[in-house]
Formats: sequence, structure tokens, C-alpha cells
Amino acid sequence: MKKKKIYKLKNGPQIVLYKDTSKHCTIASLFVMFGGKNKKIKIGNKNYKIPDGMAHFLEHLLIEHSIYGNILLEFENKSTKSNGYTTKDTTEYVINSVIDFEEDLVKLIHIVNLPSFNKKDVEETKKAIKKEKMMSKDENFEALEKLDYQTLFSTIEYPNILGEINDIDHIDYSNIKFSYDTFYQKENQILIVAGNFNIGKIEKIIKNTYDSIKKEKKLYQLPRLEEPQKIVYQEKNITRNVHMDYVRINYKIDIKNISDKDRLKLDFYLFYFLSYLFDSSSKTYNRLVKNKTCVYGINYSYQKTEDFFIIKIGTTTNNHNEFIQNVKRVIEKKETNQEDFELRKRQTIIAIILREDSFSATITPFIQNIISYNYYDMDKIEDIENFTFDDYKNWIEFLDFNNYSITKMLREKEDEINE
Amino acid sequence: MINKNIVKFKSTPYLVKCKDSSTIDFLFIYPVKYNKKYLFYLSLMKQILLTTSFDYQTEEKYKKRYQKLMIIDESMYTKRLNNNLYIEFTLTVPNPNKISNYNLEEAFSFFVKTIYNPNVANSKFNEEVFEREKCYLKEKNLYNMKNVYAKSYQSFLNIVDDNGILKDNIYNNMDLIDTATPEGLYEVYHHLIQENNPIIIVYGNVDKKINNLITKYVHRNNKRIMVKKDYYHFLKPYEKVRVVEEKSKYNQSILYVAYKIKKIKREDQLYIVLIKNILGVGANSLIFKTLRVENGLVYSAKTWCNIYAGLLVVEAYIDKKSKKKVISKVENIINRLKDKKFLKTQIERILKDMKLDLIREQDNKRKHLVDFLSEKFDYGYNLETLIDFYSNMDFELLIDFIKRLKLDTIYFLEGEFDEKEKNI
Repeated sequence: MKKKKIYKLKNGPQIVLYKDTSKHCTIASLFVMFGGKNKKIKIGNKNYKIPDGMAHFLEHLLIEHSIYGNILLEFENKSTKSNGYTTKDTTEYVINSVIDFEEDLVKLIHIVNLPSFNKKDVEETKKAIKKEKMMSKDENFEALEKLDYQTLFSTIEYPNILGEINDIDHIDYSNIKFSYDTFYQKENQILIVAGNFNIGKIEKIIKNTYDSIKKEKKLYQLPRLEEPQKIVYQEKNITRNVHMDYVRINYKIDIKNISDKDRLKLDFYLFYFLSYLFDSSSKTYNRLVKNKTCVYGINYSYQKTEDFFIIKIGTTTNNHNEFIQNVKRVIEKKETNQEDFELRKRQTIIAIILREDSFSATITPFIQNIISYNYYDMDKIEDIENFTFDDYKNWIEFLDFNNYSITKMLREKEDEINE
Repeated sequence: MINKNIVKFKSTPYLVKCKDSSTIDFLFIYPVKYNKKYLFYLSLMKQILLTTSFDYQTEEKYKKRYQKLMIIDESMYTKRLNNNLYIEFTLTVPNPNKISNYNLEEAFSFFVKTIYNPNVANSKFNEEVFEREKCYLKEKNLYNMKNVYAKSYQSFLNIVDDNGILKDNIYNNMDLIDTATPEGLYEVYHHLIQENNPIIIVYGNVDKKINNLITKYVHRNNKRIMVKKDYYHFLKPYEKVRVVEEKSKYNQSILYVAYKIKKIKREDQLYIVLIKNILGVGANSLIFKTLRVENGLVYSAKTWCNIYAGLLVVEAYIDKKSKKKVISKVENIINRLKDKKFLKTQIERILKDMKLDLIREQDNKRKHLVDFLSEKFDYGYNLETLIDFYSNMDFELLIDFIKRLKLDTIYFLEGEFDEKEKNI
């Protein structure tokens, strides 16, 4: 049996309960709407800057220095899996329990809402984060991502989730406390519980736990970013220790006037459109492989960044121009195909049916719908069945692909490597 | 008398029932005796068979058909256990009971043709496709070796393994790719696949009727399949600890601390897995607790083992100045395990975890398939076996094993990053 309940606690978080009696474990994800992208806020008439890496720093601090000590150890002692993740949009605290879920859930809400860290804990946390930063510095695509932001946006900054070493050094108890009090308010949270549990009992536990937490309400405003449709730089390059150059075209699509519901639909349509143009069955991919422009596949993806869809199409190639011209040509043509559309629609329906087999496959897109599109429901087969080719074609026609940047990760020359 | 060195398989398909599964998996597994010349040919075979066929000679046509048939996944995977090689083709499709108008037969026939009717003419693979995939494979290997993890792992294998079993891989034999030809590939393919008899497994909500579909498209002889097991090649400990240090331009420093086992015997493999589990799983593991929580020496560390080679390895991502401390802490942990009381607590801890994982595993619909394969092919252990073994542990034997664990190889790839130096 499957049952869903979605509601908002008075002066508290949004709650999503998803009961599935076939499951043997229960998961809870507590999201705080504070991520790497949050760099500025306004309180009253005053503007404040949030240091890079702050959301991620708080995640570490709350997990490693909670009222229960290091919560990872606390949970692992009773074999509950737990972790924390910071993205550009949110910080997530997650548990996966097999026994005593109710007890774990209370602890989860407590660690996020009853901080107990001190100045010494802050200094200790810096050491772990610097080591994490060290690991990320060898990630070539992170550097390219930063470049994409620089070329595309004039007001939206790269969400440097870990921060640089200097940022980490400059984080102190007072600016952490300030960020915590601002972003960790109860109303700024979403709690998702999924698995085999008693809905009534869990509802009561959540209410009682949140009611027992007293937090002062702090009003703040996120900056209104007047990001223009135009890009900033046509092209930027970086040099890295890679075997072959990587070239990417980044399209900036304004979706300001599109509703959340349509944005979600567009999410599917973009996937169909890009797959038709660039997957391994596409004419473009096969042409570029045949003429040896591409050795590997073409990577295509899209993500919502504020009021824009950013579409990225890249490949490993030494023939930059050939790749760029081909991508530009097919994108500008906006070619769609009804047979292909119907095929991909059917694939989506099958994928939704198959989600039943895996807990994470069920929950992950559900969470994505909530976080990205403010849509508090799962994808439904009937919604997909209602997609029509004409609607799809019209939406693709409507999108403006005139604003794009090119970013390249160039191979270091041998003498630079051997220096 | 049962000969434990022979694994026997029936000639008819094995049906592994999972009534809740929304998919059906067809596995064709070809047992083969390992030969070095297969290294590149197997990678090329995978690339070519899964992108073209005789009926669909370009990737564009092949993939279009694949999509039309609503195939969820089609893969080729090679598992090498010393001198035994298992080449596994898998087709995953939706269960027709769950999807309206799904044509299972067409998808299955496409899969069989993928394996048996490749893009071949005059006893050689299509030259254009062959050259393209050869180029892809070369580039991919060069690309991978720029990655700090792949680079350090390969360097470590070359140092820890004097006999060359572990380092006998494509990265260390790049010259072989230039000798590969379309005719040579066909010869290898014909021998390993067309002349071979696969072990067939069907997984999902299926019954015996599925055999009719298999019989219709796959022609095999009725002989039982016998595989001579030669899975083990235990690495001999070095007389003196081998220490190799290398400087690199990466930021990250990576440390490998490897143990081999003196007077190793096959029964030791369960102990290797046990020590690996005590040292290295989760936040409560000894390695994580000691190196990160208590001493702040690493951000991340893991323990892994190779039971067929008799190797236990701690791999830590560290600041370059922490090397000596990390090595000493790892040695201390291994020494502490010789204390029976301490060891008992650790086993109780992981037993508790594993029993709960067993409950979690019930949410994983592929568990039955994984368990079936490990039992049938006699590789790896399922959770039930490990729990049973750890619950009835003979501590004298275990401590004897721990005493035979010998620090053998230390490899350190030194990166440039120093957390005390800013602006790097």
C-alpha cells in the first residue's frame, strides 16, 4: 500500500510523508533552503555578505558537533545510515533506519534545530573542510563549471560550495551564528519521510518535536537579481592536466515568465529535444564520430539556475570549431520529430513504472520536483500521457537559443606539465 | 567425492524468480580460460558488439532500434579471477505484465543477434567500426590515466605485485592495442563466444514458459558446462617492506598501506573480508574513527581487499605532511586487533550492522540475482554466509590470521597541496 500526505506545520516546515508498506527501511531527509548560491541577504535596510562555503561549513559543524556529539558516529552505533549534502540550493541531512526510526527522526530534527557548536568546534571543522577542498582541486570539471558561470552571468555568482582556503579561514563563530539564525529557521525547512511507518504517529512526533524547539523569527530578504538575458563573455578558456581538450557550449534560456508547472514540463521536453539531437542514435553524434571530431560521446545536460535553464553541450575534441558549428546549427534549426517524441514519451512512462523497484529511484525525482519546481507530487503517468507533439514543438520553438557562451578546458602543453 | 575445483552448470537456463521485479534480466555468461591477448580484444568486442550488428551496421541504426525496443540496459562485463574469465552479456527489459503491448520476443531476438550476428564479413569485423573503436579505446585509456585516482591505483598495483597478476591489465599493455586487427578480433570472438556454450540465467517474474523463447533463438548443445576453477593467485609477501614515494603535480596526496598474508591458505579469505569490514565500512569503522574523527589526519579513507590475491589495503587521501602519522596509526590498529577482547567488540559491532543490512537488502530487488551468481560461480560471499561465519568465530584461528598479516607495501603519491599554505 502506498499513501502520501503533504502539509505545512504552523510556523514550521513543509512536511512530506510517503508511506510504502512494502519497504523494510525508512528514510528521512531534512532539507534546509540554504546552499552554495546564497551569498547575499538583506535584513531591514542592511545588506550582508555570506562567505563562500558557509552552507557546507554549517552542514559539517551541525553533524560533527551536535548535541549528541558526532552524529554520524551516534547513528552508526545503532546501524542507522546517515549523511549530509550541500548543493547550490539546499543543505540536506538524511537518515536511513531499520529500527527505532521515531527515535532517529527526533535526533535528526534536533541536530538541525538545536545547535551546540562552539568556537573550538569551528576551528576543528576548518581542518576537515580544507582536506575536502584539497580533494576537489583535482576535479577538472569543477574549474570548468566556474568558468561557465563567469561567461553566462553578470549578477549570479558561481556557487562555490566548498569555498576557497581563504574563505574557510575567514569563517568564524559570529558569521556562522548569523547565517545559522537566518537560514535555519523552521519555515525554511522541508522534511520528507518515506518508507514503512505509521503516518499518524510520525505526524505527532514531528509536531511535538518542532513545537518544543523555540526559535526567534528573523525576517530577511534574498536579493532580487536583475540578471539580463545576455551573456557576459562569448568565450573563456582554462588550461588543465587533461589528455585532450574539452569544449562546451552553454545556452542561457530565460524562463522568467514561465510557471513552475510549465517549467517541470519543459524539463521533460528539453530532455527529449537534446536526446534527439545528441544521443548515440542522433545524426549529429554519428556525423561527428565519423569525421573524427568526437572520440567520446557528446555530453548534454541542463539545469535550472534561478530564472534560467542552462543547457550544456560538450565533448572531448581537438577540432573545436567543427564541434561548435555543428551544435549551433542543429540547435538553431530546432528540429523535432514526432516518432522520436512518442518513443521518448513511452520511455518516460516505462521509467516511472520501473521506479517502483528502487526506493531511491522513487524518492529522488520526487524531491527534485519539490526543490526545483515547487511541485509537491511525484511524476504521474497520466501527466506524461497528456504530452502532445504539438505542445512540445511549440515549446521548443518558443525557446530562445540566441544567448550562449563557449568554455574550453585546454590540455597543458608538455613543457608546462614537466616544469 | 565432490571436486571443489570444478564448478558445474546445467545446460538449460536457470530461472531465478523475483515476483516483485518490474524487469526481466537475461544473462549469458561465457566461461573462458584467461589469455593475455584477450585484454584489448575483449574491450574492443564490447565496444563493437554493443553499438552495431550485422542487421544494424551503424551506431545510429543500432541505437534507434534499441530505443524502439524499449531496452532498459544491454551490457557486456568481464570478470577475471586469476586464470578464469567470465564474459557476461546482460539484457534488461521491462516485464511485459507491467507494460502494455510490450514485445519481449523482439527485444530478446535483438539481444541474441547482438551477441551472435555481429558486424562481420569474410571472417573479420567491419574495418571502419573497428578502427574507430580502437582509437576510442586508446584515447579513453590515456584520458583515464590523467585522473589522480586511476594513476595512483595503477602505480600501486605495479609496486605491490611482482608477479604481474594484478598489473596485467590494459593500462600496462598499451602496446598490445596496436597489434589488434579486425581478423584477430573475429578469431577471438569466434572462439570465446560462437564456439562456446553460455550459462543462461533469467531473472525476474518469469516461469518455465520463458524457456520456449530461449530455445527458439539460442542453439546450444546439451552438454553440462564444467569450469575448472583457478581463481587464486596469492601474492607472496616481500622480505622487506617495500616503500615507494613519488611526487606529482596533483593537489591530492594519496597513501596506500598494503598488507599481505604469510603462509596464506584459501580459508583465510573469510578472515580478510572480516578485517576489511572491521577496518573500513562506514563512519563507525576503525579507520575512519581513528584517522579522521580522533586525529583529523584525513578527509576520507577506505579499506579494500582482494581475496584472490591475498591483499588488504588501506587507501587514504591525506595532506602531504600526515603520511608518517597515518602509517603509524594504521599499524597500531592492526596490532590492537590481536587483543581478543577488543577484537570481540569489533566483531559484535559489525555483526549488528550486517544483520540490519540484511533487512535493508530486502528492499533491493536485485539481491537474489547477486546472491545466486556468487553462490553458483563460487565467488564472493553473501551477507547470510558472513553473518553465520562471524557468529561462530574461532578466535584462536582469527588471531593466528591477524599475526600472519604482514605490512608489505607503502606507496605514497605526494601532491602539492598543503593546508597551511594559503592561496594554492
